[in-house]
This record gives sequence, C-alpha cells and structure tokens, in this order.
Amino acid sequence: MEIQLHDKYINVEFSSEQVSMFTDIVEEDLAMKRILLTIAQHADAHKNESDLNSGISIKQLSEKVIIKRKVQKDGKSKKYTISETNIDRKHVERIVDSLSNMTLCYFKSFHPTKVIFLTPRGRSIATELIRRQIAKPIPSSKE
Amino acid sequence: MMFRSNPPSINMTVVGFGQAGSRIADKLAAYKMRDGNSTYNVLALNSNDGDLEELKHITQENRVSLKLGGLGKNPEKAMSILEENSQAKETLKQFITQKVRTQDKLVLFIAGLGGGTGTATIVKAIEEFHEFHNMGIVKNALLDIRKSTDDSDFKANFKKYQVQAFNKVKDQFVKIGVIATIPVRSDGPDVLRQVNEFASKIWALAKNPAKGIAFVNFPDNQMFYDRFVSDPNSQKQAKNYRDFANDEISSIIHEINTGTNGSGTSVIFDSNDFRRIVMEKEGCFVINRLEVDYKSVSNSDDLSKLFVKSIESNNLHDPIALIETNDNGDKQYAKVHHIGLLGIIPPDLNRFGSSFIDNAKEDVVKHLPLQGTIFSGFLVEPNNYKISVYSFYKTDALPSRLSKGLVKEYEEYMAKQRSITFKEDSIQQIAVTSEEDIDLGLDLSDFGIDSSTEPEEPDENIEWMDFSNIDPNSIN
Repeated sequence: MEIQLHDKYINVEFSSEQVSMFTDIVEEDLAMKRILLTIAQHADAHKNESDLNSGISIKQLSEKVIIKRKVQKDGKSKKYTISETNIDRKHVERIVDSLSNMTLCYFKSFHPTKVIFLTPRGRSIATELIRRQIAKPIPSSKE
Repeated sequence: MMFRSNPPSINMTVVGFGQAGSRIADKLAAYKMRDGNSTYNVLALNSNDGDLEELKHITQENRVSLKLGGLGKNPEKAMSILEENSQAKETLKQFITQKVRTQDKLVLFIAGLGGGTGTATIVKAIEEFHEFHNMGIVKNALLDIRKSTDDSDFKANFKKYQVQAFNKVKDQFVKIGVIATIPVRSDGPDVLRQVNEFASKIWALAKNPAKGIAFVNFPDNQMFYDRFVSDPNSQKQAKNYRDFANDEISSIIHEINTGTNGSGTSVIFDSNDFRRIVMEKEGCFVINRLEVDYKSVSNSDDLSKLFVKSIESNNLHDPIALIETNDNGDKQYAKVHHIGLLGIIPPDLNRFGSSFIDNAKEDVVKHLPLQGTIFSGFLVEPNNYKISVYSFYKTDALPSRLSKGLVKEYEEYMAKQRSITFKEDSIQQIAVTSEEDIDLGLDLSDFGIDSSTEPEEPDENIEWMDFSNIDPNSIN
C-alpha cells in the first residue's frame, strides 16, 4: 500500500485468527516468506538509521533473497537446471505487490526508487512465521 | 456571608485521614445550610483515639480509630503496619466501603503527608474505594460484553474490551478528590523523602483516568507557615500556622462550592458548570482567592484586573509551573482544562454592571494555556465590605516545590544556611496515560477464564521480536 493509505490505517490490527490465516497464505510460498522476513530483518538491522536506509528496495531484495529456481544453463542454452540462486527481480516485484495488497507492507517513493517497509500487520505475520519456525520439531537424525 | 449557606454545587462526603486530615475535615463539618443541616457528610479516621477526641464538629459515629496508638511519623512503616494488622486493615476497608455515602458524586479524601497515619491510609483508601465502588461497575459492563462474544475472542481482545467497558460506565463513577498537604522543611529529610515518594504515588494515581480521581491538590504547609509568621492579621485569627492552614483550605473549598450555586445577578455561575470543572479530566486542581477592600476598586476595569491578579496569587501552594523552558530553549506549556472565575461583589459596587466579568474572561485566557472552557459568574451580597475573587482550574502541572522535589529543596535550603554541597535529585514526571493504554488491573480469572491453560509460549517476547539477527534464507 502507498504510505498515505498506510498512515490512514496504521492502527488497524489483525485478530489472532487473521494472523493465522495470513501466515498460512505466506507460508505456502517460500519465496514470499523469505521476502517478508528479509524486509523485516532489514528494517530492524537499520532501525536507527534514516528513513531511506531502514526501508529496502526491490533491487536489494533480489540481491539478498535466495531460492531454488530454474536457471538457464550457460546463458544462451535452452536447458534449465534447478539451483539455489538469487531471486529474479520480476518475481520480487510480483511478491511485493502481493504483500502490499495484503497490507503487510507499504512503500515510499524516494525518487528514482521506491523503498519498502513493513506494516504493523506485516510485523505480526513475520513474528508468527518465526514463532512457527521455532516451534517446528527438530528432524530426527534417523529420518 | 449568605452564599456560604447555599446548598453546595457538588454534594460530597469528606473523609479526613490522620490528625491533619481530620482537623481540616472538622472545619468543613462546621458548615451548615440555611435549613440547619450540615452541608457535608464528614468522617474522620485516625490510628489512635486521642486525636479524634479533639474534633469539634464531626459526630461520634463518624469517627473511626484503627486503635494502633499512632504510627510514629513514618509513613513507610505505617504502610507495613497496616498490611500486617488484619484488624486495622479490615476496619479501614469497612470504613471506606460502608460509611462513605455513594449518593454523593464526589468523595473528598484529606490527609497531611508526613505524619504516618494520613499518608499511609489515604493511598490505601483511594485504592479500596475505587475497587469497591467503581470497578464493580466496570466488571459488570465487561460481563455484558463477554455475553456477546465467545471465550477465545474475549481473551484475545481483553485489553480492548476493558477500555470499551470503562468508557461506557465512567460517567457513573463516584469520583475521588484528594487533598494532601506537604510538610514543612523542618520536619527533616527523612520525612521529606518519604513524602516525596507518597506524593509521587498519589500523583501517578491522579493522572491515571482509570483510577477515578477527579483532582488532587497539594497545599503546602511551608507556605502557610511563611505566610502566618509574616502576616499579623493571620496571627489574630489562628493560634498557629496549622490552624491557619486548616481555615484557608476548608474555607476556600467551601466558598467555591457554594458560591457557584447562587443566584440573583445577570451572570450567575451554573452549578453544573462547576461540576464540569471539578469532575472532568484529571490533574492538579488549583484554587486561588483574592480578597480586597471594596474601596480599593473604583471602576469596572479594576474589578476585571482582580481576576487576573487572583490567578497570580497562590493561597494553597507555590505557583504552578505552567510554562517551562526545555534544554533547547523551547517553551513547553502544561495543559489547563476548564477554568472557573467567581466574584463576590458587595452591593455598593453593583453600579459597575456586569461587563467586568466578560473583560476578565478575555484577560485570563491570555494568561493560561486553556484547553477547555472558561466559566464565570458573580454574586452581589454583603461580604464584610470586601470583594472576593476566585479563580480555579485543573492542570497537569504541579506546584513548583513538589515538581522540583522535596529532598532537593531541603538540601538547597540547608546549603544556603551552611554552604554544604549537595547532589542533584529530581522527582520524575508522570506521563499522562492515553485511553488506549488504560490498565484497569483486571484479570481474565475474574471472568472465569483460566489463562493458565494456554500452551507455554516460546521464550521470545513475541510482541517485540527483533528480526535483525535472523537469516531469512535459512527458513524453509
């Protein structure tokens, strides 16, 4: 969402059911999950800096987030392999649009770029994601 | 003197705690209305019988002794004695919950901070009274909300529903007014230190809208002492500075309570308006009275100026620090809620008409950072050839002596006397609680919901999770 809309609804919170629901939605898409957590991680790591630095850009997200995806072999070859690599920029843009539509993040224009921040609702989803991660049983070495 | 026999604008029960509180309350018990009935319902509570026997106007059945033989000018010790002595604790609780009339809209608690009994019992009494009389109403409102939703939603939104219930019923509360006198410097640093702490506790309670305290006033015994020794007239009227203080406090409160319920002029003070000034919002209730000989006023302008002068005069304590300059040189203003201006004008000055009160309002507004409404009125009646002018308002600032810190003030005083060095100390300002942050101290178990059955939460404080150290790429 745009910053004006974010400011208007800044105090709107999700109920616990809604937190659970949105967390389920985000958790189904690993890329979305990592993008959301990267936005959160960046915001807290830079919270004492200026507005511009505490937000994260699309470019920075594509440089930080790693997922398994098809990568073209040797640049021009028509063969693809699955490998762990940086997420594609277009993919980041689509995910950020989805997160924004879910009101989990908002953006501010700092010409020529747009910078993305977490909303309080996004923070509650990120928190729930981490909580679930912590609560996951550690896989047995026998499995 | 006629207006002093008017029915009061606010019917109140007055409770005096300890020797000082009981004696001030006793002065209020002397006031009667024209029909011969007492203006106020007055009670007195003390730790021993001896002080209660000296009271002249409070009836026997309205005096209660905790039978502790005095609490030794040590309020902290007094608090622990009260906690440990179940008989005394029960007597105090019964006194507060049963003897206080709740048909009154206000209960006025009065104590002298420093002696022990008053200090310890007034804080306990505020909490017990509010819990018994007001929190019951809030709990019932919360129960109604609970009926309209299920347990899990009620649990999840417990804080929000508390605030909702509070806002719904707060107008039904019986409010508390607190008058707590602060001691003279010569009572010593130990008393001043303890009083500092108790005054902070009372101020914190007073600033919390959830506690039902309409106002607090901290009359200053040091100021009364200084006035008494420097003014021969005061020495004619009272035996000592304590009697002088008791007269000043009780008479000013009574006069504004009855003068705002008078009639007969073109601009009368509405008793409802007085109730608004006293009951709405929270903070320190500042009351000033200025009396001058009627011959000193020759025109309407002179009358108007008296109201501005009354704001600058301080009858009960040091000037209130309404404007402070912070480290950046910026001026910070304390909020002033509603203001009341009341004049008692002798008939000889009726020729000036009523425009003076309108001009007074204009002038006063320039001097005070007003957030609310300014109410005004005057009565014309014989007043011993004097003009009495009252100004009263509620603010979230403290008298300078208290905001600076009593211990610091004592050390400064000693330093002037003996050139000793001292270290800095200060009383903390208590921030105003926003309504969304009201903590009513209620628990889910009060509503039959067992919060202990919740699965154990992970160690992280979920609400304030710091994400700076996570690695999103390691999360699957």
